[in-house]
Amino acid sequence: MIGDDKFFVVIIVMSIIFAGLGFYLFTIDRKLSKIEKKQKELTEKNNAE
Amino acid sequence: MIKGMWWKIAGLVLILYSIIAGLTIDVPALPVIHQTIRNLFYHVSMWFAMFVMLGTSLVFSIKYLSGFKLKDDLMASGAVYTGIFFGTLGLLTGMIWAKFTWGDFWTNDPQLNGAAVSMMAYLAYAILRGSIDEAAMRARISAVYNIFAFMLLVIFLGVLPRLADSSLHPGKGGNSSTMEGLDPTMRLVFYPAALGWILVAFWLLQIHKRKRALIQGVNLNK
Repeated sequence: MIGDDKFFVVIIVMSIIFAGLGFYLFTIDRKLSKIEKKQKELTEKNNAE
Repeated sequence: MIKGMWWKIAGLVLILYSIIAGLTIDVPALPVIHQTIRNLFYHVSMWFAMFVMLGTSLVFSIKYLSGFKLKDDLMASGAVYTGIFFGTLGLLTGMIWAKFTWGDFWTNDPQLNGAAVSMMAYLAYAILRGSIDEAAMRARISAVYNIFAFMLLVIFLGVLPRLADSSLHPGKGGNSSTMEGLDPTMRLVFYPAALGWILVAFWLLQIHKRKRALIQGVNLNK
C-alpha cells in the first residue's frame, strides 16, 4: 500500500476535502458572529429608545 | 478573533494530522485486519466524539430540568443532533471496516445491533421534538426522554455487548480490548485524532446552538 503512488493522491484529496470543510465551518462561524453583532446592536438601540 | 478560535483551529489541525499520519505511519502486521487497522483512527474517534456529545446532551437536559432555561434545551438538543451525526459517521466507517475484515457490511454482533438500537432511540428523540409545537413543553418532554435514551445507550453499547457470549468486536464478549494492546506509534495518532474530532464536534454544536438561538430569539447570555 505504501509503495503505491496513488496512495499519496488519496492523502492529498482527503486533506483538500477536509480543509475545504474546515474553511466552510469558519465561514459559517464568521457569518453567525456578524448576525449576532447586528442583533445585539439592534437590541441595545431598541432598549435605549 | 483568534482568541476564541484557537480550539477550533486545534481541532482541524489535529484531524488533518490524523488523516496524513494515519495513512502514512507503519502499523503492526496483524492477521485478518491487516492495513484496515488504520480505520481505528477515524471510526473509533468518531464514536468517542458521539459519546462526548450525547454525554453533553445528558448534562444539559438535567440542567434544563433544574432551571427551565431554553438555552440549556438548545445545548441539549444540539448535542443530540451532533451526536447522531457522529454516530452515523461511526456506523458508516464501521460498516466499511466490517466489509473488509468480516466479509459483510452488517453482522449479527451485539455491539453492532446495540449501536443500531441506540441510534434509533436518538432518532426517536428527533421525531419527538418535531412533533411538539410549544417550546417549553417540547424542551421538558425531550429532556426527560433524553435521560432515558442515554441510559439505553449505556446499556446497549456499554453493558450488553460485554455480557454477550461472543462478539467480533475487541473488548466485547470476552475479547481483549484494542486499547490494551495498541501499538505506541498508533497511540500517537489515535489520541490526537480523538481529541480533534471531539473539538470539531463541540464546534458544530456551538454553530448549531447559535443558529437556533438566533432563529428562536433565545438570549444565550441570560
